[in-house]
Amino acid sequence: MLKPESIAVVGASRDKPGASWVDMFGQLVEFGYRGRLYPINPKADVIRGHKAYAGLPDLPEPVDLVIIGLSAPIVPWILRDCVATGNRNVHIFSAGFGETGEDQGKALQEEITKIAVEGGLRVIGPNSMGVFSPRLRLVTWAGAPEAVGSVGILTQSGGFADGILGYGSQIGLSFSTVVNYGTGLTVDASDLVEYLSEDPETDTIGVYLEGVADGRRLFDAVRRTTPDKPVVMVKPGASRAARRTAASHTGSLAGDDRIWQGFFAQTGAIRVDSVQDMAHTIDALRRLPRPAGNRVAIIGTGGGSSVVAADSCSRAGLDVPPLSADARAGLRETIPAAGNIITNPVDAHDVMTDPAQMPPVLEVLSSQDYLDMVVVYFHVDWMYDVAPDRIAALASFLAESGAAHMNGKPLVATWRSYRSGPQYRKVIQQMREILVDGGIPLFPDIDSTARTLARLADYSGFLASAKAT
Amino acid sequence: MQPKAGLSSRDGELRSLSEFESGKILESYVIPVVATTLATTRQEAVEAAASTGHPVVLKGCSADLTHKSEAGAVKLNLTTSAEVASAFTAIEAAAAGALDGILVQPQIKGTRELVAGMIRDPQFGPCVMFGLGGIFTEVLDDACFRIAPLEERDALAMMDSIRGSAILGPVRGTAPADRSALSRVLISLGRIGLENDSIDAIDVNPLLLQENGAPVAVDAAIWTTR
Repeated sequence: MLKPESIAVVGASRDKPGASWVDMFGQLVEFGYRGRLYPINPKADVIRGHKAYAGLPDLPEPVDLVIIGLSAPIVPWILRDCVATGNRNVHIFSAGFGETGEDQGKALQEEITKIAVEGGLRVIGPNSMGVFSPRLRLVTWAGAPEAVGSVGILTQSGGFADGILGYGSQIGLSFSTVVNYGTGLTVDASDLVEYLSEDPETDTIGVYLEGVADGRRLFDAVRRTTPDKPVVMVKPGASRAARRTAASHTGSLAGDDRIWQGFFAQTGAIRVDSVQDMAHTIDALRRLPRPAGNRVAIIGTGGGSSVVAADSCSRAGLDVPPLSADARAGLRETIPAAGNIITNPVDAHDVMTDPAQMPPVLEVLSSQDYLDMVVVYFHVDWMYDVAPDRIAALASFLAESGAAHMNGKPLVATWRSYRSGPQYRKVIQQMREILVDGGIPLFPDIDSTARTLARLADYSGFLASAKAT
Repeated sequence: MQPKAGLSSRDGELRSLSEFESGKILESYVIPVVATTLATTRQEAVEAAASTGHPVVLKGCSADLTHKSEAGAVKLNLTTSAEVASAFTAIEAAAAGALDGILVQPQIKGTRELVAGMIRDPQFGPCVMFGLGGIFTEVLDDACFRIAPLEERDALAMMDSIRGSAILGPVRGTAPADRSALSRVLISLGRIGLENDSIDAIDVNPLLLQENGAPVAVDAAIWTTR
């Protein structure tokens, strides 16, 4: 049902010339869905050039996916039609069921659950945006990116799906499948993890989940997946306010967060807290080699910001070890003494503004057996003042050959800029594009850099201990 | 004592087992439990104390007696037969006849109190709990959970993930905790949950670390679904 070759949309809107709003059927047509499309609307003969049908019984074939966009009270009727006509796979877009917490919604939810279970229907939703597959040109909402990639996302929240697609695209992620499954009537997170786990087009899995009916099944599914494919997960509900909100959003029981902490420790799923953190973590997992440990070196400029950066890393669970005498001597061969402080973080104005000095510096740092990762920390305002092209020059060096000097260890970049002015925005955008294209993960600040690298180190530790037992 | 709020999950009436019954179930899963004799007469208590070796502890034993200390049903550090005899009388009077008997246990030396347990989570089923015990359970609320069944590495990771994990190291001249014995306790608690649907929750508090670092259950309660 996630790779449908034929789709029927029940409740496809009739053609309305000049209408600004595009319904799900319109989105499918406009995005250029590659399979066979059947609009269902008894009041139309043709919709957007496709022959329209009065109902599911009139279709020439059972379809791989039925999408229902009608209001909640009508949905039970359509589901009975699905059962009667052998259309087993259903996406219910409509809201207004159990998640409302009101009696009518709950009664409807019970009714559709009974129909779906007894009729053997596989149902995504209700209250869900459904399936996005750029390969099939399948989407039911506006604004989805066109690029085909290998990140699979399953989410209870439609807004989260939209957010991860938007932000992920900005930092260079592209997607294989995104499923917003909403309330998860008969298809829930465990089924979708199992699917993406087996899907050869998906190499990394992102999950937004508020609660799950059968936690043990999810536990087993995720635990089987993480040794081969990383699973990055937002599981809100650490606070009482979040648990209350989850109950009214997807009707989920968020559960005791301390047990979820156990879930993450045992399955090796990587916990993140936001759309941005998920995108950056997935990006880093996909582009970087696995770090051997949590020990990081930072190269940048500025005494105070070096101290703050060291603190930020420590707080996130990273170690910022001092450099050995050998390493300091090695760096001294490249870096002049005046104005540069050779310790960790390395505070080296000359290196940051002269990319030719960077290769030996990266070689020295990455050859230390007590260092696992290197962060290059751009101070945009200062570098711009030295010469406007310095930022692009360093970014280009890192993008083209940075990794070649890392002895197989992860290299990432981050930046800070506090000034207003379009010239700064412009070089930041340029830096971002160069690094994204060059495969160097770029983080928006030192805190998110530190958090993500710490997660990578934890995941390495999990893989090592999973292998050992 | 009831299972902590929010931890017990099942509907239906819960029945708590007595400390003596609870200890027998734990022992059947090879969890170290303090040597315990159930005495029904003063004479049996005095004899049990003598064969256990003084000092001993006497505790009133009953499924209905949940706050033993507060009820005056626990007498510690009894060093002579005479003290044992009068403690027996005092506990009988305090408990007002609701007793299965009185437990005689050796006074265990050890100041490091841990807690371990099992709860049934509505989403995940049997989960194992580990944390700081005794009064610290309430004051610091320093506990972590894992979903059963536990592997040894899960159990070992629990010990490192509590804030007070330093208590398991060598503290003030005491031996470090026997981590492998502790992990066996945690793994067993998960097994009890998985293999006994009728057991709803287990609370071993305190799980005392003896001076040699070996853990021993000094008090335990098990709740079952009727």
